[in-house]
Amino acid sequence: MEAVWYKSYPAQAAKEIDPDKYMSINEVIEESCQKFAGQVAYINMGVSMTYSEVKEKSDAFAHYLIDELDLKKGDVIAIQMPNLLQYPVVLYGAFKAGLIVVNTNPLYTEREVKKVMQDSGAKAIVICENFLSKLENILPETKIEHIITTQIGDFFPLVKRTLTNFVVKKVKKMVPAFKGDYIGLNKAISIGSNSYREFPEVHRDDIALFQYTGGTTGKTKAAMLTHRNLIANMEQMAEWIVAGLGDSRPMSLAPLPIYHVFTLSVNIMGFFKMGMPNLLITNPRDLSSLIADIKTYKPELAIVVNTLLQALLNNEEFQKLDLSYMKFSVAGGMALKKSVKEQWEKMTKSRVIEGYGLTEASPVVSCNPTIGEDVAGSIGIPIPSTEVKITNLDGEEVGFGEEGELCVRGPQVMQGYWNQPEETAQVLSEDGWLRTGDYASIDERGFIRILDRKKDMILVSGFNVYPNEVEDVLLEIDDVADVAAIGQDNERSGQVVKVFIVKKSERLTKEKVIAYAKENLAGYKVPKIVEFIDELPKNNVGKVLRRELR
Amino acid sequence: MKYTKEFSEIFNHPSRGEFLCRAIRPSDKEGLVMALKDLSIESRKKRFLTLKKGFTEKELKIFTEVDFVRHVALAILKVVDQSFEPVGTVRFFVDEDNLERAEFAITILDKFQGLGIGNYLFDHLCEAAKERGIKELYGTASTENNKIVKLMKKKGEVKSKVITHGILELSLKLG
Repeated sequence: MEAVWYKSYPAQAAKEIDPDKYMSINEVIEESCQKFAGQVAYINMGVSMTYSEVKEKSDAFAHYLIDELDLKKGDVIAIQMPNLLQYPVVLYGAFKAGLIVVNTNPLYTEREVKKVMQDSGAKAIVICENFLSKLENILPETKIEHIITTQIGDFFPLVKRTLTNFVVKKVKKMVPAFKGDYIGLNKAISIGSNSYREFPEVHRDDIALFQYTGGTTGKTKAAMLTHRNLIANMEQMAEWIVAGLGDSRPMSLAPLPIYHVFTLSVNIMGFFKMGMPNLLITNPRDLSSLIADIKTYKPELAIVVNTLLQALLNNEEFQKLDLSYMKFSVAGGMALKKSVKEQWEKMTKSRVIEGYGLTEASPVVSCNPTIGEDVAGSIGIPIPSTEVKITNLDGEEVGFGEEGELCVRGPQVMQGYWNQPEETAQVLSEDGWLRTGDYASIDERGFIRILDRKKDMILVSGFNVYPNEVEDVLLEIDDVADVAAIGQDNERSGQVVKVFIVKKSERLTKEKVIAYAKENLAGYKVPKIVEFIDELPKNNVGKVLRRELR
Repeated sequence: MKYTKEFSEIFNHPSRGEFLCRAIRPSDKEGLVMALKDLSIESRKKRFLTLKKGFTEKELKIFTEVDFVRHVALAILKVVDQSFEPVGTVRFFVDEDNLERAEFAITILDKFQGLGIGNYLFDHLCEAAKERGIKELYGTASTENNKIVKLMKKKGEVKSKVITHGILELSLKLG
């Protein structure tokens, strides 16, 4: 497909980037820490951390991993915590030690954590104490040998640290009791700071992340993202964002979770590299705290999702703010509603531009321009060094305006799924084209519109939920004879999970179904609607007719 | 007609010995229930588009009390000494509003997959369809079910269309 979209590029944005500019992410981190040494890199709960501090702590942590724990290049380490100052330190430290990182959702149930730990073969984990008891319950079934814990306030100055950790544990009671005795992150960093052994040589083709994403067959799959993949996407987004910023490097609001590859790539990699401070929000559902932070720090940029924008716009406190200092926002993860875009732009007197991506592409594929035409309802144009095409059901490329599956090729596309060659072969061609599983069309100017999903997937506030996974769990309930899960449109979150259940016995109640789901599935996967039916609609040969349920 | 309630044929597999292919009978209900237990989760999902726990009475009746007019169903079993081990089934159901079109489904137990038994059964099914003047066989499958596409492509050109998220209708014109 001819790259007609270049005509809509901001003047300052290059058409191509060099994904081989750096040997590894570590080189990027090192360069940024030297360049911006005394500047603030991250802020969280009123506490700042400079680039120098990031370097010092992440170097020390890397030394601890190599020297004390004897972890080798290519070993896997999991990180399970909300947005805290500790997160980038641990992440960068792991990269410097040559490890592969598994970003683990703190909302995961024991069962989900176990699946990820088993599949990835993680040998170590850095975990926020709030989630430790769940890990302990499944620990014997994993290969984890080393547990490093951290508390919410660990990177705060002494008084604030003590108070915060006390409140979290003793007042809010957010730390379920755990049995073991583990080394704390601060202690690990302290031990590591005494070592000066060289870090292993890390190459851009080494895997940096096992980034987990579900699948239609319910299999847990990790996209293998290399250093090169992440550097590429970081460079691509940097071109895009800089075009809209000029020389300024303002603070960005980072309310979306770092364990999701969107914020990891854009905020923790891209904005860090550009010398832009990131305001990390630990709990974006606590709107009062979020609004207080916005008032205090006045971030000029925000990386957001439709659900969050809606929640803020509906909040009385937020409605009183003057946000005219904002430069622009970038929305991803799920479709940005036209009405939400209009309201946000009216309130902030700045644009919110929609982008699109998927875990398998590190993640950003396309974005509306930061300057120039911004097309509502479109996911924008391909970012630098990105090729796209639309293919029909026979895999043949079709032209502008025609509908089919969106395919992507570029340096940000993953190497494949970890340990799943068949699944990889289904989405990745030998010449590097990634099938996204989304139906789309591209207009004559190169603007892409997503029409529908080819994959059987439900999108809840930007999180992927696969019906199979929900169904498999609910079928474990003895009194469930049959179940089908679909996505139902929802004003707030885009979609919610709805299940149709055929009961074996009258004992089964909606409450029991939801309780079982909550025990075994992360919150966003739990059905919001449960409907009992006599029989699932089926065709003559016994196949469930999902279209009749939708 | 060849494919009636009396149909029966021995099939000698090059490496796995003797198999019996015959018309499904009402007495096969128990065999179907046992066979489902041996079918992997993935295969069940591919076949039924959901993780099937078991068959209802109604389903067992439909699947085994076959009229061989609008509904044709064949079973394949492994001959083991004097008895038979379930291997798979294939069936089609002629559309109510178009007698030249029929929906098919095929199931092979996991331990017998990859041996060409699916091809063998599907060949028979296509012959049975042609016998009845059916010009097109179609199936409903997950977008990720490449095996069924391969099976069908061996008999001719396969067309596909999206039914809903993750589900395709695959159709084959019978020559």
